[in-house]
Amino acid sequence: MKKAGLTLAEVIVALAIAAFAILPIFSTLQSSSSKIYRGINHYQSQFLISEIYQQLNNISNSSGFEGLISAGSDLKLLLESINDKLSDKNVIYPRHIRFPGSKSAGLLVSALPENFTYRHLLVERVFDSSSGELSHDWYKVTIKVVWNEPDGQEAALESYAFIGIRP
Amino acid sequence: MLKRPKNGIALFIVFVTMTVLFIVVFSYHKYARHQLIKGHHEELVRIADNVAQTGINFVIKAIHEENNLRKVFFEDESVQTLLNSSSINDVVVLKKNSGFCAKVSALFQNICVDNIELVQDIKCERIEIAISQTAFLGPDKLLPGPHLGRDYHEKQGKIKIACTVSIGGSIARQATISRDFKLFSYIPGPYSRFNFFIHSSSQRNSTWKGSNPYFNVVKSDINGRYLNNDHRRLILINAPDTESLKLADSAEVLKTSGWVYLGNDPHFGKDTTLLNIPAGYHPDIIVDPKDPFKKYPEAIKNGIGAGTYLSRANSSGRDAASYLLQNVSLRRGLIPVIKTFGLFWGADSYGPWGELDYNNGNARKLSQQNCLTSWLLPFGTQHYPSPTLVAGPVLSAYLSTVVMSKPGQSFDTRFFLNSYLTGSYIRTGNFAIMTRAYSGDLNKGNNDLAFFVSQTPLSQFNNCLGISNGTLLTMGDVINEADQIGIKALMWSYANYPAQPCPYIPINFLFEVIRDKYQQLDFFKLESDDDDNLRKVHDRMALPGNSIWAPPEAQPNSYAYFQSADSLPIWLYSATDPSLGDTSREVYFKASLKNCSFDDKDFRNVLLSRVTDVIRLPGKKAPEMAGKSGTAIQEKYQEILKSRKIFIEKNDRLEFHSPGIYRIIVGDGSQIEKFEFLQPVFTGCGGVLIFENANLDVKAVSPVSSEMDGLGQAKHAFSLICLDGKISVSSSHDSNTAYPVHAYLAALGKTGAGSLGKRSGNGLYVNGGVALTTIDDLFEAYRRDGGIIRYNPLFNPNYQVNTDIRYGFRVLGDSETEIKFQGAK
Repeated sequence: MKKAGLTLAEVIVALAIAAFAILPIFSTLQSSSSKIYRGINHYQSQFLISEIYQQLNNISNSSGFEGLISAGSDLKLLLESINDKLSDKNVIYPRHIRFPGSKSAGLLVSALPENFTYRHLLVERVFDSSSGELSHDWYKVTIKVVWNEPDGQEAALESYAFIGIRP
Repeated sequence: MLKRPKNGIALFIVFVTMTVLFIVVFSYHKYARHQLIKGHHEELVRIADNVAQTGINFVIKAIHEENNLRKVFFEDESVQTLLNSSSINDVVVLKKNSGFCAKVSALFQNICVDNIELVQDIKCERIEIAISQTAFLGPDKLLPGPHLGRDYHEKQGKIKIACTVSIGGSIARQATISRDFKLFSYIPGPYSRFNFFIHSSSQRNSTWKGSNPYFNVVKSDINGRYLNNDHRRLILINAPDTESLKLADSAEVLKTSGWVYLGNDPHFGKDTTLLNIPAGYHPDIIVDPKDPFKKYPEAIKNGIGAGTYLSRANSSGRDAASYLLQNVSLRRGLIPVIKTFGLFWGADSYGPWGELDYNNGNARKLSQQNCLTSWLLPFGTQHYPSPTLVAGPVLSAYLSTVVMSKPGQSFDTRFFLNSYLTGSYIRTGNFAIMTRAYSGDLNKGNNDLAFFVSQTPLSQFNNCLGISNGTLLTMGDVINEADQIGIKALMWSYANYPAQPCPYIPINFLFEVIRDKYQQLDFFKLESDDDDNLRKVHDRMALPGNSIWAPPEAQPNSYAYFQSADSLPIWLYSATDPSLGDTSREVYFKASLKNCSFDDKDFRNVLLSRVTDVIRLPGKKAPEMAGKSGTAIQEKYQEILKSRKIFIEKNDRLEFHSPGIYRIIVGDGSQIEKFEFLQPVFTGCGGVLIFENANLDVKAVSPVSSEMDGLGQAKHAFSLICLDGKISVSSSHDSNTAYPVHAYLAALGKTGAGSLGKRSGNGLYVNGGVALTTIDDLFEAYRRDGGIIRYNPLFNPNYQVNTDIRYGFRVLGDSETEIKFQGAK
């Protein structure tokens, strides 16, 4: 060391400084990594939401949509009844979830990625046609996807579709 | 050389390294953080996108299905401009801050956007609608003349709808949609001149269900009384029909009754022509109480010709009800009795008058099922639109028509021309001349018509017509007759031909955003397993020219119901239930040969584009068929079809349980091959089998028991189509035959190959439609042995147990066949 012109003290000080300085770097890296994970989860959840939104959008535009809803039921029951299936973690491949009572109509949904705990549809009637202003009831459909962050915290994203149907 | 001191070098290196590392790591961190923030921003963007898309759905629904808002749409200044325009390629932009756009935007904000609590400051900024590339609906897309049977308000073009949604000040997203649209009149062309609608038959109530809409058949007499035993007659009386007047001296009543103005006859340049109804009876027509129609043939033979006459029900009849303006036609069906004026009058199907038996000169009365519909078309038809028809003077009388029927086949249709109250009906306005009845159901959501009642001031209307006499015809209004039997709603519709000032914009237009080239129109929307919904489909179909709910090629020809010369289209069905919400194209297929030019392969292409599956069968010359006998080849074919799950063999019969459209190509096309069903086919569902390069031998086609309806007919249609070969059947003549054919048969070959022939058996029993190029010897066999060719269109409003035989046949060539089918041997 002497030859190298370094004293033991210098090396120790340098190592101490390096060790001291590297801690925030690790911490920053860890934080970044967690952000990346969150980003990926966000991306995936957006995909999952869009997937469902677009289908709901298409179905609600399709002729015959109202016919899916059996007597004594309503849109809320119809859509929320598939929530269990939407959150089924045992599914690996995309699957078609049929609406109850329908031969073929339903949603084609991707499997829930790792760390995702559930997704569901929350349906709320926001306009009642009995007021007479419009002939359709309008429902707000909240599409919600929930997952666990690497730190164990629960995170969620949601979006909204509005569907009008004749009562 | 000076030796540089190395003190602090390690510290320096560590410092530099750490600095670089810091920069790199923090940059990375910053980037990751930025991306996350961006991600969050994107999340809001997506929510805005989704809400904007929903906004477009909201607008489409508003235009399409919300009657209140649709009204606002058509009242919008810009839309009015469009409707009134006589030019093409208009560009119309609706104002976003007023009219329809403002209204719908505010509603969307209130109903939908305000309910997104999670996102602050989300707002529907605006809804914009622009219409461009407008053209008229006529074939040449130009301003139509009367001969084209279109109103000039009927337009097509492109509509672009945009919805902009913002979140805070930073995000604003716009969704747009661009669609073709067609703006149809409910009643195209001349039909929209004078219309009268009854929203439901008096026979119906909320519990009524059934497959037959009982279209325009009635049960009541002119006084609204239920008729138990009477023939159905269409009676036109220009006189009051109140009980008291009926009992008065009708001769006096008739003197003061009015006339029908038929306008100037454009064909003969005659001046104003009046049809004086009370004076119109023919002395040769004296009605025998037992057979009111008995003398007609004789009168016709004596030279009165087909026409419309006022006759007396009995020789001493002196009341209004005894004067019957009755149709006399030489043949069943509707003919233009006063053709020059475009006044059509008559009966659909066999008509109420019975069919003439030329052998003995007597009219043979037909069963009520055959007497489906009576018509008076004072507006003419699309071919012969009548000049403006005005009736008057009204005085204290009015013109009414009553179509009477046997029980169970309901409702009356009437003319009403004046506005005063009578004991029977409360009339809050004046009525137009009736032309036809509509059997929709207001209570079932099938209520568009009710919202299309014009509110135009009567004076304006009269002025427009150039009528100075204020007592003349005025326009209709909804009448308040909630508690009355029969009439519950009236609709008056007036549309004049190009460039004349229109008294009002007829509101009887529906704005249709067409998706997927007619494939998903509302027509199917009502279809479900529910009987009542199905009935509504019938109802809507019952309205000729009802382009809204059915694509033109699938709806009854708009005048087919009125003119016997025009046969109904033959439709081919894959009558698999269109599963609601399932829009896959193979699920449902229906085609009309009537409006398809099979010559230019349109029809063929349409058909083949819907194919569910293609099955190739080796031809006779194929190596694997070498040395095989004819039967062995057919057995091989059936093996293939069974292996492809098209058929299942059960108890020596072939069962069909695979709904869909199957193209079966036989051989390589070098020659016409043969395909023979060696066993009877039993259908468990609907479907279409298309045979290419092959003649087809059919032994029998029947529904399996679960597929059979109460009448022993298939619930779903099954079609067999030969693209280029001929079809041979082996059936015999009655319904108990061992070899019935419950199928729609079509042989589309342009030459003699496209024919239907007999292979064996006596007579013929085809319960379905038959469409072909030539008849081959079939007709001879048919004439000799009798049988039935039934047209059994599921959507024909005239569908009855004894189905309309007349429409069972369509020859695709130019030459018309002289086939006169009878229902029995």
